[in-house]
Amino acid sequence: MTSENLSSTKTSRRSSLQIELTRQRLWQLVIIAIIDFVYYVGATYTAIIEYKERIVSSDPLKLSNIIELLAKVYGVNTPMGLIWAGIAVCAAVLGYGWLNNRQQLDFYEALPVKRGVRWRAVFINGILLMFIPQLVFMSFGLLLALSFGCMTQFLLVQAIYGILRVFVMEASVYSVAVFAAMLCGNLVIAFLGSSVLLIVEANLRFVFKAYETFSYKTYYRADSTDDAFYTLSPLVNFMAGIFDKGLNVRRDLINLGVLVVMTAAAYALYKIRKNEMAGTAIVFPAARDIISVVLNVVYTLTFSMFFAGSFAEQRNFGVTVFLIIVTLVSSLIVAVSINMILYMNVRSMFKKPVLMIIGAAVSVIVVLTFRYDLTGYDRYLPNPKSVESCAFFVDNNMNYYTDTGDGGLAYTDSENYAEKYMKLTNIEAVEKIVKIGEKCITSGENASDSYSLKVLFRLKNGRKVYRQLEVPKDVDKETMDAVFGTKEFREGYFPIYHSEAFEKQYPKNPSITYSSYVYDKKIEGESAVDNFKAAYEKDLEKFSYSTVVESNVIGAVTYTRNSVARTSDGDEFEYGQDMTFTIYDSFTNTIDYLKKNSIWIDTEIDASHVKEIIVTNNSEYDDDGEVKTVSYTDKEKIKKILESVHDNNISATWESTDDEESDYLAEVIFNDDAPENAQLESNGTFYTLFNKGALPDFVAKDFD
Amino acid sequence: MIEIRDLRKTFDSGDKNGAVNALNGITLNIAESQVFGLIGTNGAGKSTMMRLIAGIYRPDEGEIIVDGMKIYDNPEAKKNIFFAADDPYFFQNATPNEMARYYSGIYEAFDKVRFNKLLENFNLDGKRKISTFSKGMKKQLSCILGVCSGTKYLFLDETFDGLDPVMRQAVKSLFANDMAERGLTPIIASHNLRELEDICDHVGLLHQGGVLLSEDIEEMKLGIQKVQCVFKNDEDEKKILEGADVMMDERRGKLHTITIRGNREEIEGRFNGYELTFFEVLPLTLEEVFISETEVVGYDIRKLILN
Repeated sequence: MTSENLSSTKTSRRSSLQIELTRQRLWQLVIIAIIDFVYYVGATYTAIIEYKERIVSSDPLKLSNIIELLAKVYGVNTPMGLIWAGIAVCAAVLGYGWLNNRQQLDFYEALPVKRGVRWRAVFINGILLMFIPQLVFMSFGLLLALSFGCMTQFLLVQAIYGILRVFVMEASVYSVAVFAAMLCGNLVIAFLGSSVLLIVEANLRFVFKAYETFSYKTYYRADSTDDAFYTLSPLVNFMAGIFDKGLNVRRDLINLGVLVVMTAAAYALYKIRKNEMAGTAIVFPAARDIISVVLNVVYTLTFSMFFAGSFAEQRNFGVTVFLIIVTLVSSLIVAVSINMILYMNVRSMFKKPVLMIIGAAVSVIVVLTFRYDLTGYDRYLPNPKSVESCAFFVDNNMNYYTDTGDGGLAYTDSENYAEKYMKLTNIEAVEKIVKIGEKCITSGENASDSYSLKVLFRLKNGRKVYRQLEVPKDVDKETMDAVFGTKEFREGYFPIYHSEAFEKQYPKNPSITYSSYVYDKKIEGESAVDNFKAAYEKDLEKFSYSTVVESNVIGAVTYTRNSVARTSDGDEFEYGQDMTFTIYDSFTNTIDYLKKNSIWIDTEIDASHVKEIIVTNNSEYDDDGEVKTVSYTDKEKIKKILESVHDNNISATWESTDDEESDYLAEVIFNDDAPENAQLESNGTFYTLFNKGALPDFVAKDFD
Repeated sequence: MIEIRDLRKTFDSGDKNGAVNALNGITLNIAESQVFGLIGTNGAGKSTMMRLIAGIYRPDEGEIIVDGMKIYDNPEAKKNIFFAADDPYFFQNATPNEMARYYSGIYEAFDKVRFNKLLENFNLDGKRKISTFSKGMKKQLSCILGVCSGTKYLFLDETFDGLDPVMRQAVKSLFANDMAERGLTPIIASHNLRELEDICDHVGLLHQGGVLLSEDIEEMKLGIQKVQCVFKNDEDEKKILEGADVMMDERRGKLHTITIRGNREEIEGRFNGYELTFFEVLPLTLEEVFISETEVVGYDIRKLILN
């Protein structure tokens, strides 16, 4: 026989093997075909009929709406992922079902067919069983759309992308299920195993995330530009892809990788699988032990998670003991259930107690590791000698801009700005604050009375370490000043130090607006801006934690600039952007500047304009359990309160809680005819805070 | 020729107590063109051995060589074998004709014409769904498919169990025909010795995973004689049996039934020259040969395979 003849005989034998396999799986093919028909042809027809009927109605559908709808049916974000995955699992597990049946094993394995050839033939047959009906009925659906004039290039491209993504996902899920089928010697267990393999990673990540939330954590990821959720599970990857904007090929590449690895692993398992193990839950006894421990840990943690969540805030020893007991009981229940499934025997529930103990011990260790940071991960501080510089991310109401490097301007936030410009070099001082912050988190105390800060360590090896912490508001001021009173902090915190790109991009109509109380006052011109910047920067030289917490916020300056753009009609229009700067009563240079330029606003409120002041103390509760409030309508008392308050609308960087007045909020309600009402947007109400050390005695007494 | 060398197989359940030694180092040969009977109790390892020889199971140790080729995962070697399991598998909703079509794609020498003829002879409908067949009919079909596949070796696991005597005879004659015409070698496993008595040329007795004995039946029969006699006196009895390899001596009154090792002439020679009240050499059944042979090595075969 020539090599040509031999090759043609081989091809013919393979084809006849495929036909024979398909004949035996005809019922599966029919079910898959029905699902594909209903989805592709049925959905297309329904959408088009709806369109045709409504085209003559009073509320007609546009053709583009229908095409968009069809693009969802055929496109990459098809909602049918779970169904396709289900089909793939069935195709895999049922395709290799003969491996679990002694009668069929005797039949197939005695035949003069190489085991590998049969395995590959079944593998390919399963893939074809999924793909061919899908391709056929998708084509029918598209032809239907074409016949009704709803076919566009956009839809065709979406359909091609969609089917490719579905194929990759289906094939990957199929390979995972084949792996499960090779591992298991029973159909039901193989289905269970496939499901577990497809969700276990996402399950574990969810559980770990939950435990992270329940426990203290200092880990922080600053790079949030790519929040897409990737897993090794093809199904979860595909489902998560529904929320992607546009085509995310990374998911498909991951799924392709899973397909290759799992197919190779499944084939390797098949080669070493012993036929006599057919009928057992797991055909590899050693693997059964590993699976038993892993599943025990995963599902014990899943069950214990609910209890850990309920007691997340309580870190005392008694609660820890209770959680350990809960974990042990959960582990026992899970281990007993797993044993019964893996040995397919109720009497085997206590089999292999050593593995049960290992599973329980690992679960308890994981729970305690999260609860007490046993690995020390969340208490990690880099060696100061290995740190190049640091940056603190402090939230505020200022607007930030950075140049994009190509002449453009990017609107950004305090974190990105600090990451770019803040280079703190007193590492010991930074770490001192971080230690205080971590201690605050680990103790679980003062959590509500603390500053939320994030810190970045730029290591000399180029690595970046981010941590988030809670610094108690009663922190030592000198410790804070050692970092927050430095020029390095100011330059990475106040956008005024790097405003060149903003000014270049918005060259027109610069202005300074001072806002305080309920009024705004504005001055325009470059010189006005330059003078403001000079005065503000001079004040910032004295900026430190201690000066800020001892000062009151009296207003805010908004620095605005405009740029010019054209409409589609060619008309020019101006648009602007701004930066906001908080003004403290200790900023004497800025106050002088505002006064000199006649934009200073006297914050003293005329008591005759005020109808009522309602004072609230957030730490005091009345008999009904509501936050305690006292209303003042007496003119004398109103006048005294007004002399002691400042605008609450502008936030300060730091707010000390040392002072008694920090818990109080004063709501000023003006008379209906008061001029302030014209400035206020809502109900003539203005919220204020009491100045440091200025809480009137009668107010304190009323809340005593 | 099938050569089995030091064949071992253990069924591993994953824990120390659960491991079962199904076969403990079996060594035997199966010659061509003879009927090989594999006898043993339930759990003796017959089916395991059949599956190993058929290449369904992989040996833990030892080797199985079929016509010079290892059998496991070797299609070349498997082309020469057909395995008819004790509970044969047929495709769902398949008919005999469909199964024949499948087998004809697998075994190049499959004889479709003969298949149709045999279906007719055995009164089986080729178009009827196999799922509606009785257990016996399925076994007949399995035998017919096996014979028509044209393989050199035919493995039959408990095939005669469930067949009525007429069909059993018909199947036996089917094998006899193929043995004569094309040198078929049937290997038949059974737990019942009587089932194989009139068909096997060679019998291997399996017990607790080992081969208790493996011999040609004719040789066994020729080497053992059963004599019924009545001695005139005790002195004659003593002299005649002195130095003889007596395997069994049952006495009912004065009538002795003696199973004695040796060929017929030799045994008759021992008794010649003595005056006996009664003397007759009786034919031995396979069962009696087995009882005698295994009792010598300390086993009560009746407890093993006759009950």
